[in-house]
Amino acid sequence: MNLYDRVMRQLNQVADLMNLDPDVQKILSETASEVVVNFPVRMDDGRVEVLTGYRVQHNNVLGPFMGGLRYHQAVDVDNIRALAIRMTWKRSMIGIPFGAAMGGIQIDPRMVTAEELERITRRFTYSLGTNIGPEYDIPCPEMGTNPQIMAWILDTYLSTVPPQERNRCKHVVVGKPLALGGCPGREKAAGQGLVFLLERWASDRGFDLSGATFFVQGYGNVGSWTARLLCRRGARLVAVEDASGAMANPDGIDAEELAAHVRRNGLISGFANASPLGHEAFLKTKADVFIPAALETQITEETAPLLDVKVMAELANSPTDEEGDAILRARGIEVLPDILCNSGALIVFYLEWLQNRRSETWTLDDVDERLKRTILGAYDNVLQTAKKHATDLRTAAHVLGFSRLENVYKKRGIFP
Amino acid sequence: MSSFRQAAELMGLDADIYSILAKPANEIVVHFPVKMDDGRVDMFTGFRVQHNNALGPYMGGLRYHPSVSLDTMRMLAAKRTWQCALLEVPFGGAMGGIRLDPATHTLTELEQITRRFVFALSSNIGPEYDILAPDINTNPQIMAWILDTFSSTSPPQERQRCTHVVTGKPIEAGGSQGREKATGQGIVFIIQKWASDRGFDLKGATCILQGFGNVGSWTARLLAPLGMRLLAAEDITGAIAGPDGIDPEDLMAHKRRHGSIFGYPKAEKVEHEAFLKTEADIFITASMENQVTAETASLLRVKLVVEGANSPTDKAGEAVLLERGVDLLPDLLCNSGGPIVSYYEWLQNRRGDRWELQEVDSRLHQKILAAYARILEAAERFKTDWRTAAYAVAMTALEKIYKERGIFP
Repeated sequence: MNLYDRVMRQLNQVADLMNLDPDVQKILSETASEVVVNFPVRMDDGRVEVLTGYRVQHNNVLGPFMGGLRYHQAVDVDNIRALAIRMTWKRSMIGIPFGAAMGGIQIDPRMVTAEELERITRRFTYSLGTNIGPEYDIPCPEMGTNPQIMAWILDTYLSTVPPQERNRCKHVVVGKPLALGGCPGREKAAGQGLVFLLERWASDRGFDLSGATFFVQGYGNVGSWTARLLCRRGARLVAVEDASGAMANPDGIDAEELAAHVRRNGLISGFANASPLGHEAFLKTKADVFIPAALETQITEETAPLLDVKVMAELANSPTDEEGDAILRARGIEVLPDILCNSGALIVFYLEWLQNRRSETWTLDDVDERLKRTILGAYDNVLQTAKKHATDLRTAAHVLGFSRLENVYKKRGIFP
Repeated sequence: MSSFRQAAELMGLDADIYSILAKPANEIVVHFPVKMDDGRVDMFTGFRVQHNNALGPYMGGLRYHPSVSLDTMRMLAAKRTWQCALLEVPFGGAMGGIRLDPATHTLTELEQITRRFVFALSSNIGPEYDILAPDINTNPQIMAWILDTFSSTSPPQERQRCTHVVTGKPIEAGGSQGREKATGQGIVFIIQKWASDRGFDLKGATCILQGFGNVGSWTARLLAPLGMRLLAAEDITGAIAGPDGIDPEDLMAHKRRHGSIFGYPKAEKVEHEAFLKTEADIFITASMENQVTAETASLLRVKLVVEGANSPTDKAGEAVLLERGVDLLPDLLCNSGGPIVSYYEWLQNRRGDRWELQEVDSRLHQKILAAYARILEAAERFKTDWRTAAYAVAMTALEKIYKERGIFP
């Protein structure tokens, strides 16, 4: 089953559970607009290449469209559609006044020079024209894009609006470099959000994170920040895995040193103070918390019985399939769902947009405090919804997201 | 794309410009909810493909049909780009539509669907950006709804400046004199020119006609006063023949009453093959695609085939006609009367002006014959057929502007 089919299935299951209005279900099942642009770019050798870019806008009933821009050779509309649809629910669940969009260019960014990448980005922005805008659709970094690319988008967009309006348009894109109106704390945002959630989860259970043990799958930006922040809270990183393999140290791996090692070498392999481990042994690691922060569909019928933890916090997108989920539930392992756990980045994008819109610059403390308040507020609402519908947190998070969307449609009606 | 590729090779089109023109600039798909008469919400899928705007704003038809797809829209949008470049009409090509069967909807639903589609397209259309026009199953009433919705979503001070967001409007809503008959009128001007170039007298000449919708019926009605006789006609209900000539005004009156040419009492019913075999001077196609194929082309007994329809002749059919020495006036030229008068409607709205029918007709005459002359000149220069020559003229214009303007940034 591809991602799009999975997302549709999830939508239909939750809609049945909560008796979602069929008209609203129909609307949420489809994207509002899908824009495909074919644009010419002059390459370094003087040749013109015609590239294909996408922007899929799912729903903006809660606020402007907003979502990632992916540069990848395998970008296709079906996948982008699914990601956009899922993000609408997420925003609604967290309570952020954004709708969802997702876009990208079919290109391998490693195959072009920096100058070409800049021209590609600028010409793509130009082609999108009024289909993006600070109060209409706001792109942000995703796979294959970064703050530099966001800066080029900003510059191109501003250059195409009248001079008097330029300063009002800085929030056309978020995830910008700090100097251009980016937000402090953006890099650690996803990890920070998860740490706030885990602190709360622990305190609700009279359990102290200090001295608790955890292990992480994936040690990129998200995984490493989470590990570093948890270690700073006194927790112990006992095992870690990435594309190069797994390693363990029951006495604790120094998360900061490992992060420095990955910055230098790209992967965790070759790190001195831990011993290598097989994948199965890694999953069997006895600890309090397991954090999948890498790939999709890691916890399945086969791997779910191996876990020996109290809670699994899903930082990656969809790391658990339906069968894996059922097994964890049966075994009494709690699951903090991805839709909640990895919302830190989204919340901080929203805070960047807010600051630009108000011409303000917040400190890291301001940002952290607001992030904490927002993510814990969402957590409380999800817990209440789960209780009310006697269901798990994942389903509850979706019910919460859908019921807000349903509410807005019922109040606003269908124009004309 | 094969005529495009053939012409590009013939004229040596720049490879960079070829790759730009080979794909549409933008493809927009919108899914929008509409409240039906019974209170239920239905989702609809609408398209707008914008091929190229190097020569001017996008411009093109809007089709309501169950078969509407991105692929047909792409093909038709590109064709409109070539057509505008050939005609020296300062527009680029676009095409759009909604996937629906209008027969299954009430008039109120059709209005709601149209309005919600325009709302969903939002700033992707506009009087100086992308201009809509009628196509299959859309008409002046639908164009009027589009205008009303677009204006209503623009700021009050700008509303009167937006009348040219759509053409083919009813006269009172800013439509142009002569828009309804425009395609037929264009065909007649071309046939007159073709005849005079050959020293051929249209008075007493004969024709057969496939399709009796807007284009076919207007062509026949405008040819009759020139002394031409309509020997046979065909539409979706079948073919009829009248060896002494069918009166197109009378046939039109029959169609208004009965919806089609079926059962017309003053002519006899004939089979499709017999219709095609009718001996006449001119065959005018004004219905579906791919009607003239290798098989049917060999049946025709005419001097000239006029492509009033879009792509009525396939490659094999064209080869047979050329081999047999039958002249073929290509669709790019023949069905350009509509787009030309749409351009005049746009110009009038933009200037706040109103032209008399005579002015519209005389400008149409001038414009379409100038394009005809360019095709003949290019056919001579490149030693090629008229269709390929028409594409070559269009591509030369597009290549020129790309070379002059360059590629941003």
